[in-house]
Amino acid sequence: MHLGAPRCRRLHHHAPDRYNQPWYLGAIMNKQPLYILVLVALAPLFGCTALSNADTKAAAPIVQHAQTGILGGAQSFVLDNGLRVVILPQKTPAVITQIWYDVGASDEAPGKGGLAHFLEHMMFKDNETLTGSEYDRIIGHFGAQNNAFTSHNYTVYYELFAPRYYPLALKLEAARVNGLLFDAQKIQIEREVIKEERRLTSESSPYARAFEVFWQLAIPNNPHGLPVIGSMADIDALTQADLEAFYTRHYAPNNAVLVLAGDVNSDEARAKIQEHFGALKPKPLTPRVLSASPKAQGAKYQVFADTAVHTPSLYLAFLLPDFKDKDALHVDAYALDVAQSLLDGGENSLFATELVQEGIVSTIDTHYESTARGDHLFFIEATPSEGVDVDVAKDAIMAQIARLTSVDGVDKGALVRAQNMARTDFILASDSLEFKASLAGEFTLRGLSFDVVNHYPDALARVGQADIVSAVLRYLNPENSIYMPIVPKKEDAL
Amino acid sequence: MIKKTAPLLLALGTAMHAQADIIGRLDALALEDKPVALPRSYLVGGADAAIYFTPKTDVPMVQVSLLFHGGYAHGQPGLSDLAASMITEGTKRHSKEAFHKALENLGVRLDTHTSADYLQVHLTALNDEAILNEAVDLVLEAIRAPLLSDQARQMLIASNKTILDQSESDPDYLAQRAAMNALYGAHPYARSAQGTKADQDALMHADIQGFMARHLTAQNVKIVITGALDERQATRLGGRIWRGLKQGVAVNALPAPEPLRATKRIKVPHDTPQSAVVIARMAPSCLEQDIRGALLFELGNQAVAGGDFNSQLMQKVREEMGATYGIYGYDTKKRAGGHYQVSFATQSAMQETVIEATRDILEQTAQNGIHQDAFLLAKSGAQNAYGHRFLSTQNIHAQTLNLVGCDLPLNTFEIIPNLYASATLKETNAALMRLRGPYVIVTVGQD
Repeated sequence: MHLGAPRCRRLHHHAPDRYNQPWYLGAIMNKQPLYILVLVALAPLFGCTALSNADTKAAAPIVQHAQTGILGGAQSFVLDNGLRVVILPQKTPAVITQIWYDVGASDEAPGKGGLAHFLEHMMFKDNETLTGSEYDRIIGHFGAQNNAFTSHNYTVYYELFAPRYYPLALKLEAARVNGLLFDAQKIQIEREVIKEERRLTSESSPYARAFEVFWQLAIPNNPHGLPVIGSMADIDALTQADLEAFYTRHYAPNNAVLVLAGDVNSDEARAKIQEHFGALKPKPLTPRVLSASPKAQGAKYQVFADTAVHTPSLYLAFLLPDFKDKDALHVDAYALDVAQSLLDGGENSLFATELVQEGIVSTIDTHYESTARGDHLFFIEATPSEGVDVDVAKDAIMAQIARLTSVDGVDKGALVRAQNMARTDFILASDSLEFKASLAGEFTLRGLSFDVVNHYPDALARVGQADIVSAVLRYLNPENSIYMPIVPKKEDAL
Repeated sequence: MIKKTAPLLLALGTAMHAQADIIGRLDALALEDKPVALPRSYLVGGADAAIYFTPKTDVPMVQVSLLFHGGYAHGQPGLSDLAASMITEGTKRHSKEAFHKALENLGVRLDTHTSADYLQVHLTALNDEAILNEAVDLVLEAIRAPLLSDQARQMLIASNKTILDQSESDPDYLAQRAAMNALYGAHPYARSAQGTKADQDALMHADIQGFMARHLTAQNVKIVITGALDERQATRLGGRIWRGLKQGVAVNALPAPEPLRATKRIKVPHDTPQSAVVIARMAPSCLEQDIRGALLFELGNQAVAGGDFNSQLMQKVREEMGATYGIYGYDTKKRAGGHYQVSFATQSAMQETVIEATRDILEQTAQNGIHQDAFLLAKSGAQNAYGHRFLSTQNIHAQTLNLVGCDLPLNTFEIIPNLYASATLKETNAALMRLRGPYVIVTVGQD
């Protein structure tokens, strides 16, 4: 389970199940540290060179980013209507087109939970250019892969086409920036689909049910604490007028970033983008308010008991602020990346050696996203070993974290290994076209420099022991913790 | 830039004219056609060693996989999975801590697990020969001379039992377990990788030792290398691995599962607001099918139960009924005999209605086949999407593992486009006849 897991139009086909994985899946499921997998944010223009462009109609200057690094060779520019664009030429037999809208579940009014996600589903229905059926047929005929996801902060749509067909993706996306049509019957059917999605992902498992409660406990009175999909009551209550108003307000070229990554010629791509998106009209936008919870809320604790729980488990988290500092990241963001690696970054990590091997927990995982927007969590989920009390397991986890608060607690060799692995992982991550496109999209939307990505391993290498001690003391402390034991509910307690 | 001018899909049926117009107009937006550079795999180990290499040079990484004939269907239930885990628990020369420190210093990722047919060892590293040599030497040491400490065995068993306990609250897991048990019966393909808690308790030190000695040998391995090496480097690396393994005896192939004689309906009561449903039937062994037959079925299945919104099942159950978030059908390929399954989740009150609709579509398809327009859509989609399989080193490696795991010929990647191009509706509908029952139908939820 991912924190703030984005919601998609559909499940990924052939998602592996734990019971009977196809034998080949291991090769594409190498475990990567989460800071690699979710290093999602975006970036202008540190160390970039503005070039003139005589070949396209795009009026704005083109920013040519550094040639090296994971986003090496990227170009950025802005159309007259405010659409921000990133082109990332790559030697791949496909082109991915992503459009990132600067809107998500955190923009929903109280009682309108799930609106951003519901609208994302409706974006695949009819618009003034194409019916939903035609859209699906085009995707099928041209062999594209497509999907969308909604998070608290963003709504993203993408298509992956063979290189020669990427202009189709531009046409499809341009058609629904402001031409969506709403049909009452289709809304009603999609409402039922979304309710099935909610049952599947949030209600069928006691751990998923606990997760929703935990998140609201951790970030109360804040849209980041509410589920992206919305409550069942909110989903039922959303109206066509709600959807239309949300769409009209937030979907505009000047509220979006377009990313094109793959086997493209930059000059040609700029012309194609201008052709399809250039005539779209911008809209007046209300600046987004970044959610921020009060600091020093004190330790929080709540038991979650459920008859469907067979094995006790626990969620433990620490509230973190947005680490964006101008167009870069605060050093604490990197320090927590390294702290996460020291705690949970492999078989020699503190959690593996001191908790798993010592028989205190059977499983333990940490989740942390250094580039997350707004309030977020350093999150730990663990299952105590048989016979170990869940509170004892929690105390043992806290004790390992506390080891990082003294300089002696951070082994120098471990620090070097964590940084070495981070470098390798970052290079390996560059194998994924989608990953690179996502970095470009989110960093651009957030106003973070591509240099953050391109020099990420160097930044990790600069993290010293004092940085780790400082960040852990500041954030991963008991007073900033949220703890939830998840335990079986006895029948006689019903 | 020259544009392609001839629109595709001129042959769509009358009902599809409007959509064909749109597809034709959009097709005219396409850029100049460029052939997809398909990866080519090489057998680099000579006559004795099964070493497969596929070059991909634009990212400085290499993936190496060792597929040992010794998946979870071999030996006692749970044994292969436990043996795979024990490979990473240290060696006679290196404690677990020293072993992993050495790998981390090299920046190498090591992953071991088990599937039905293979115990798998996967290694990912940068394309530095010195790093790769050192990494494979460590892995070989772990395979040849694992520490096999009793403490590690007990810890892994305890962890597996906890995971099995947790899985009891997962409707998908319960549905899959019930379906596999009903489908495969006494055949070991019915198992899960970990088996049961009782199976775990029965796994002793000597069992692991014996399993490793029997299965983790040069005679039972296929070595797959993908990435930024040249052929000579790959040959050297593969040879180093193959020579570093113990000699042994090839294990026997598994027997074929007994065919399913009649449809079975299984209801597993579970307190959940949504039922998990699996509808499964036997499918041919991946060794038996010719590539053409497999591709024809894949094409037809795309139209019936594929991964996009054009499939009959998605159209009916999601787009018309609003009764599920997703419904897909797919083959799981195994050496001794695989299975085909359709899976979905729906609120309990709807489960029988959706099952009926699904069975109706499967039976109708087996009997009457799919229509021309659906066939053309699936065919053009498959042709246009073919390059997507080779987007990354990891994609290519996974594709090669598929190929090698089922003993498919090395030129498979190259011949598939021609097979797609020559596919006919008649042949595709013949391949779809295997969607006919009997089926195992499992529901986990409230009745």
